[in-house]
Amino acid sequence: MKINTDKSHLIMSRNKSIVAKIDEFDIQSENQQELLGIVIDSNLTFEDHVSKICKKASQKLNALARVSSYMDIHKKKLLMKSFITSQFGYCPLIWMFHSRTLNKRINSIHERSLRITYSDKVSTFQELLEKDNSVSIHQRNLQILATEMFKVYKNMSPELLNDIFEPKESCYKLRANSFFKTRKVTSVHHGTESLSFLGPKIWDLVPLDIKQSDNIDIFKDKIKRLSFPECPCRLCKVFIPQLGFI
Amino acid sequence: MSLIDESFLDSDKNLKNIRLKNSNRLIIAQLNINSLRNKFDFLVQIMSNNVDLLLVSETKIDSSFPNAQFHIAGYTMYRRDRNLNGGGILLYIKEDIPSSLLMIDDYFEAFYVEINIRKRKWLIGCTYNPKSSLILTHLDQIGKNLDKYVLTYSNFLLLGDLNAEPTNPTVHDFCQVYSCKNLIHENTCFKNPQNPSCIDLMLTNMPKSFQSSLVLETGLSDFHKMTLTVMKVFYKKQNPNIIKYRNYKNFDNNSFMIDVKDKISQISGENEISFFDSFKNKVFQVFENHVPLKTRYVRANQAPFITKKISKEIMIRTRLRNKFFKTKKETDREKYNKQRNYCVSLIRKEKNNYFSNINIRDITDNKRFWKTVKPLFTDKIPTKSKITLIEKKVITQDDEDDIITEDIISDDKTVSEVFNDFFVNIVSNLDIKSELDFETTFIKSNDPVADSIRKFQTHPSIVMINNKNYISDLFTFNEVQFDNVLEKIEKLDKAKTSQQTDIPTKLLKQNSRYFADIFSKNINYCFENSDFPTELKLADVIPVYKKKSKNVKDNYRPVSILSNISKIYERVIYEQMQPYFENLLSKFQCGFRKGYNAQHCLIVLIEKWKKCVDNGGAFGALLTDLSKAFDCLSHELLIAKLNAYGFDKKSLTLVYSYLSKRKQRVKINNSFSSWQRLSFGVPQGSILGPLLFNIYICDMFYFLENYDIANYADDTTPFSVKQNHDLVVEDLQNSSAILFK
Repeated sequence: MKINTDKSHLIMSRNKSIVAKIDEFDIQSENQQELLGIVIDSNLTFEDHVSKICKKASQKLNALARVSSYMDIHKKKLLMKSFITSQFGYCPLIWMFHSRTLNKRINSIHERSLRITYSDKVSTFQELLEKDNSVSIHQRNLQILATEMFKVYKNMSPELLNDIFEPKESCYKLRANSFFKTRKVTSVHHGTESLSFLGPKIWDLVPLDIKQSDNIDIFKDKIKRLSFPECPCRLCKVFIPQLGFI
Repeated sequence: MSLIDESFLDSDKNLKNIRLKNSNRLIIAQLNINSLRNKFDFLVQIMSNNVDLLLVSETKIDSSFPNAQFHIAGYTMYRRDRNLNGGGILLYIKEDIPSSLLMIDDYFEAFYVEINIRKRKWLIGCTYNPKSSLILTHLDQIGKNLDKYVLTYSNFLLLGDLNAEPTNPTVHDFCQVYSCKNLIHENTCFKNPQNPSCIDLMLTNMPKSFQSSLVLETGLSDFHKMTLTVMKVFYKKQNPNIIKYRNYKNFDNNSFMIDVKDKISQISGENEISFFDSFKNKVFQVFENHVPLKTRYVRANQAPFITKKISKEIMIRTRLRNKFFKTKKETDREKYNKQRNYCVSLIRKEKNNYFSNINIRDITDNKRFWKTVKPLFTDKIPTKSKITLIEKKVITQDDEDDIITEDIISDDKTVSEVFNDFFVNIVSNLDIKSELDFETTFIKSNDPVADSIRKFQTHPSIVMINNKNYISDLFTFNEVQFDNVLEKIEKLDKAKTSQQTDIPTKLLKQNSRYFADIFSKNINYCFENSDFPTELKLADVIPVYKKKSKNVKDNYRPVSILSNISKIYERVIYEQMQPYFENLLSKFQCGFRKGYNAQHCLIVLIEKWKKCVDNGGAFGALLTDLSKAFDCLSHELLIAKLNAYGFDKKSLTLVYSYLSKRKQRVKINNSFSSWQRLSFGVPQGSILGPLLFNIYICDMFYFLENYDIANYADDTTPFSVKQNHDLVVEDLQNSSAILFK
């Protein structure tokens, strides 16, 4: 098979600029590149990717606002699901660790779309979510993560993921028994904000009865109603004046 | 009723008349529409095939309006937006005129488009000057841009609302400098009815190429009239789009089945080999008799909620407005305002009605709903039915520079031939050497399967597979049961396209028990004799546009439309092969497998990256791109690989017969190219294709065992985790060296 050297790209961590000689061609390393539909930048912030999908979603949101006066709630709900919230549905586990500003942006798009759908001008975001019987995008991402963990737990996921989420090899039955090993981390951005760290933590937060669901469909059904207020990640911290984000 | 005449209907009539007079000439028009979003539906009604090139200025749209919303069937569109409150230009050009965008001006509302008419290139400049005071800087910029293109294009036409009269000294100077002339001499703008002005201009350096320039009232804009000119060039219009469809009106399933059984009983005595091919033909003949083929012309897109009443009311509105402009009386103004408000509310009401009458649960309504709603949201324009190609030919001459000529191909039949040649010869164009010219000495025999096994006996991939796997039991295809085939028929999707000579999926499903019986027997016969029916190896290929210019053939990918019966056969084969390979395939292969998705592939990449950087290491990844991966897979090597994975002789011969002697033709609209043999690749659009591709690249991972890799279908990304960047680069160089081999 022939490889297109002009279309091959090199990406290095920490924005390091390097020219690598590969197959007699010099390839310059780049700051960001699209792989499988996700824009990956060398610092793994995913800022560009999230802004891109936000922009897309907000364009569709404007379109929804334009036709909203002609539609009833069911049709609007359908349109919102298929054009706006679906934008955040592709590979969410990859880009879920983004900055607070972007989280705010995602939430405001979500809020606006709900407001238009239910033609509700007064309720808060939380009330709107309750009305819609759904959760915020970040919480939904955590649910997806929990589902992925369930698959690893039940041995249903590809072999590949077993290297990342390793089960604990412990003969002791401790009270705070968790199934997965927790990774030792040194930094925030590449440490605590990684799936291998957050995954086991989230799995510990899932109530026991949901954990022991028989199959994936039951699990998915149950997890839909669950939210993770104690999520340890940066986005779930609440701002308290004089103290900062806690 | 006789009073209702004038503009709206009138303009349509006039446009139609102009079209009738100049049926083979190019009609060019421009209109300052003052907000396109609500007038688009009327614009479509007026334009529909009467104008070949239309510039709309003051569109007042922004990027939140998708292109698809303003798509008119049969036209290509170019746009440059300002914002919701003003400005913006948009150009429609007939699809059969090859055109390409040259440049969009960043500061001024202007863009430049190249069109090809009768081997002559024209530069069409489109512009909108918002203020008359800005005319000097605006024309300055246009002049600069024209200078850029002056060498390549000897003819240009500048369209646009310049907000300046031709007598304006700046415009006059411009015309002098660029030796161009204005074609429009009537007043176009009636903002001030007492003192109308001529500001929608058409400037060209070839005034002799144009005739009968005039100004028309459309009733669409607020003050502006449409300016129009006819280019004196003979250009052949393409035939209208034709849809072929089946008429099921008098169809009766019972009598159909009786006829089928009758026909089949005649041929059941024949030998088994030709049985299937004649079976399909016979059933199809019966089907042709029962369900006749009909043709229908396709109209341009129509706004579903524009009723006759609305267009009538709008006609009245325009009449009242014209009257008010003439008389300037307060009573006329009141009448006009009243009618205007009535029109707006009426359109709203009709839209409301239209959507509230749609019940999403109903299937036909649902289809209608998405068809009207989709263009408002997504940027996907319905697949372009007509394809115009520009072929570049290089004529080498002795002692002189090469001459590049451009051929414009727009005839469906010729285009399809060009595509077929291109798709069939993809491999030879890429010139892949290393794998396919694998030279060994062996004596050719009559058995191609044994030949290919022997040919690649010492190929590194085969040696590697043999080393890695210990195969205890050979794989062979098992007999298929009736119930299994029945289930496959039930699972077929009615909405999927099939070939024109296919028995429709609908009828297969209706009489599933009868067909399942015949197919299961035939499949078992195929397994027994290791022969895939030749009839099922014929593929109609449609070119699917990828990106960049639509006029270049390289920007299309071939997608095979296979017979629906072939899908049943392939699924049966797939279901037997897939479990066998599930454990053989590398764990890194995430594409085309159940339970795997692209997210898994990315998770592994990102997590390893994070972990390593967290521990102070370095990371690097090489994103590679395989060119035409599916189309240049070698059949012989695949057979050799399957042999190494433990396929027995019979199943090898069956797979070989599935792959070899495939024929394809390209389908564009209703024209077909001639059949051509395909000697490489797995068909894109088949069921077995992805699995065979996975098997083909699987051994690559044996070679890369010591390296990290992420793979999804043909996206292979070697990456490396090391202490520092130099080690990473070294690692990547090593792994890619293996990969590139």
